[in-house]
Amino acid sequence: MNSRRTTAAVILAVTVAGAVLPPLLGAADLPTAQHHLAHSALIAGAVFAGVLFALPSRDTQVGHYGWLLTATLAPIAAMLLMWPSKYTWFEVHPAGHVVEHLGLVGLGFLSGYAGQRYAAGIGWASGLSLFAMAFASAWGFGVAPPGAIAASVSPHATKAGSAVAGPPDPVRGKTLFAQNCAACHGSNGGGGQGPSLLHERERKSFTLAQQWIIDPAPPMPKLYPASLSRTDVRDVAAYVEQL
Amino acid sequence: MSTAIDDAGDRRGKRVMWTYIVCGLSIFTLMLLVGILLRGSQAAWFALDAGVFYSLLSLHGVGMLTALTISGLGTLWYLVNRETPLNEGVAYVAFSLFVGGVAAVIVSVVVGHYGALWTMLYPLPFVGTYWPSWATGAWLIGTLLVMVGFTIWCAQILGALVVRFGGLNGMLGIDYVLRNRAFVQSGKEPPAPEMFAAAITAIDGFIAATAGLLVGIALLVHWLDPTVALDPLWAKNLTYMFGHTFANLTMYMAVAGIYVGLPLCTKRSYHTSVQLTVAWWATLTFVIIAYFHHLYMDFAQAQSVQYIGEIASYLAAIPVVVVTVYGGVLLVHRSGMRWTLGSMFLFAGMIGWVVGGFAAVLDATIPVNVDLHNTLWVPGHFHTYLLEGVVLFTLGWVFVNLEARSGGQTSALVRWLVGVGMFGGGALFLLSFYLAGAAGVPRRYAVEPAPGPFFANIATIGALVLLAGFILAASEALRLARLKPAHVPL
Amino acid sequence: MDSSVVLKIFLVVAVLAIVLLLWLANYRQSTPLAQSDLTARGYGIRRYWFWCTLIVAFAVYAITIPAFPYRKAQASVNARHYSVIAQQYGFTLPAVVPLDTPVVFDVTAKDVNHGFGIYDPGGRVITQVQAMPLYVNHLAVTFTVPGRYRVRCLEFCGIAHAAMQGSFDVK
Repeated sequence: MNSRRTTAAVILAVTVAGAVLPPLLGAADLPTAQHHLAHSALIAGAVFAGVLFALPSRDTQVGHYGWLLTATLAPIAAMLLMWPSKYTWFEVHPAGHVVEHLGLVGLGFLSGYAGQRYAAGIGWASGLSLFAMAFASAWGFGVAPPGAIAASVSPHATKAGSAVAGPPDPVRGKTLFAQNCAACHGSNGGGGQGPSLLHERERKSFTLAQQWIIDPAPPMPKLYPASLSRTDVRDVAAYVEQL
Repeated sequence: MSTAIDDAGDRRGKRVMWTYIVCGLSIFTLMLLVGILLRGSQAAWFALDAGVFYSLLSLHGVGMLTALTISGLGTLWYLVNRETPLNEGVAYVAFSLFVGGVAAVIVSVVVGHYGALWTMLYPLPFVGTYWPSWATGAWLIGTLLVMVGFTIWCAQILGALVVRFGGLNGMLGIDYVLRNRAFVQSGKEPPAPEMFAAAITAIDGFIAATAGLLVGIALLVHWLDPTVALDPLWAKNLTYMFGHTFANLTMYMAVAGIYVGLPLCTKRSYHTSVQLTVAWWATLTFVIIAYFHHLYMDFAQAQSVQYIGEIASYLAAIPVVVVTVYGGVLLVHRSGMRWTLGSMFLFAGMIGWVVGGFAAVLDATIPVNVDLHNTLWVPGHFHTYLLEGVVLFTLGWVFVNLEARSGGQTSALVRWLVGVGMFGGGALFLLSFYLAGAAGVPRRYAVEPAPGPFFANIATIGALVLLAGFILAASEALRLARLKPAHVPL
Repeated sequence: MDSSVVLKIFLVVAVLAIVLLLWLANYRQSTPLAQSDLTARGYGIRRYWFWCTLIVAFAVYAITIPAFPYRKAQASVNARHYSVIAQQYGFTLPAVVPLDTPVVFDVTAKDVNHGFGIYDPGGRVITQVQAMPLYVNHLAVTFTVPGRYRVRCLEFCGIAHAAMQGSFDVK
């Protein structure tokens, strides 16, 4: 129709190609951070095409409020689609991955187009907001910090394992108790903010005590598996059973 | 009063404003009571279980800020609607999202006992929980709903201002400042001062909500799929970028009360000046990065960010306070104004803004922050700023409207009683925060080390006196609201 | 900077501001002036007032920069390093830290964000740093007063946040 819309169509075509081809050619197996950046590039293209397609809007009145709601909700929908890490649901099959990419492009286009239909500049605002979210995701959404320290102190390092080998170690349990439990249950287990654990062995068996620590009832905090490993739970329970 | 809309449009705008304000102040009252419970428990007047304490603290924080935001957004919506007609359906969509969000948060706390505060720093609220998983989900969804409502509001106002003033250039008064002579000679007028409040709220609110939505969605995804881990420093930056800006903007919404309310009291007018415009530019630029001061004690954060943080914190607040309060005092000084509850609240709000702002600036100074970070000094400054600033501007605006509409008056005795209650009780309440904070008592302690409980005693007494003053003011507001409207259009 | 000095500065400025503003609001309110008379003088003063506060702000910024804590850890090359691990709800700390010797605490957390706030034997906060999982923050301190120092958690970390503390001796 005119050169502006032709340009928009070309940009959109290139963006769609960028969304469709890499997964089909098997080139989309990127680390999460780079995958986020690739997504933000797709979104940039889609938003730009959307805004360009809707221009010019220099009215003295704002557009229909439906455009406004669409422009504010589309970026949120797109972000939910950008579920990071393994994209389990989508990436099993390349076609699913393509569909997800097309969703991102569509919602990006919609952010720019609908915003611009509402009032000049709003397309840029909502499009930029979506782009910024996708771009910023590369530094932390499903992405570990670059200089992450030893896995021994990582909250995600201790994976739940059901069986633990070896005999329980109540001496180690006592140290763990001082660090994790004494704040509420008292340094000798005599109670404080939380109940006394003296003679707890009469109320809970060793197994029951471990189950309780693994899955406690409020207000006791759940420290497994983030703070206490499966072995830690066993040793703490062994110590508590001696009180 | 220059008005671009007809009476019906004005009435529609008023209806939106009162819907927002009445809802906001109702939530405020509820959260005030929750807050008194918290301080009373720290004073050992009764013992709240630590879990209950943190659940209520979570509710108090997010409830208060949402309440004040709702009131401020309602007022600004009405003022923008006077300049350029807005679709009120959008205002009600945003409003129902706020109400839905608050409801979800209340359910999460009251039924689910969620208790990781509203500025939960990942890996909270997923580690060490003492509430069921659905409560975390309800909390996250509730806060996301508030953010979505806020985004819609910002986008609507942004669109309206862009259309009304001809793009960013017009709405921010860029030509007015940079090509002042040509601008004035061409007979054009810069936007009214309250339009800057609306513009800065809409722009920075939109940016802050973007950050909030990103971290909110990330937390929601982590809740649904725990294998998606986040970078804790990244999450902390985004949480405070949203949280600080969201809290700070309540003030920039409420100052519209000075620009519009005080002129009604003093029969003078508040004009946009070059300095005022430049001051608002400073806020526009720096309020979004002032949050860096929340991460002063994160030495892992890039150092350049820390160095920017201190000056950004100063520049976000100081210019606009200095210019606005100066102008406000100039309005009142020798104007022959009669003190009413409305003018009293508006003027006292400026004092609270200055005092709370100064306490904030002190704490935003890094060598000071090393000792005061996360002590009771922090709630000290923001309670001053919110309770004796934002809340007073809101109440002042409400009373100015009620007094103008009804022509009714408040007796000097009631004014004195309200003043003694709200300012005297408030001073006691706030001083105890500062004194305990300077003595190193940490914030967010269900049970405080000495001398915390001593100051908590004073604070609770102060808060109860304040509550009495607030109840008196509220009943006076209801009395004025029920008087027959006088024929004095606002 | 000493908190009690900060408190005094705050109280003095707050009282002065309150008195000044109330005086300006009530001064000869019964003999009003026209707004134009007032603004002619007021706008003249406002220019100086605006720029003066900005200059003061920048001056304070410049003066405080040397006291920022960030470069200290890098500067203390020969300092003894002590590892601090925070977790719900306690600290793993060194038992004894030497007096009058630059030391660096390498602070991290096992589970969630915590704060590592050091209270001197008199009960005042002398310095602090955040403890964050996956990151290590290096806090440089030189203790000049011997005695037992208490450590408190200064970042909300969960239900027993208020009970999370530890201590070490400086000698």
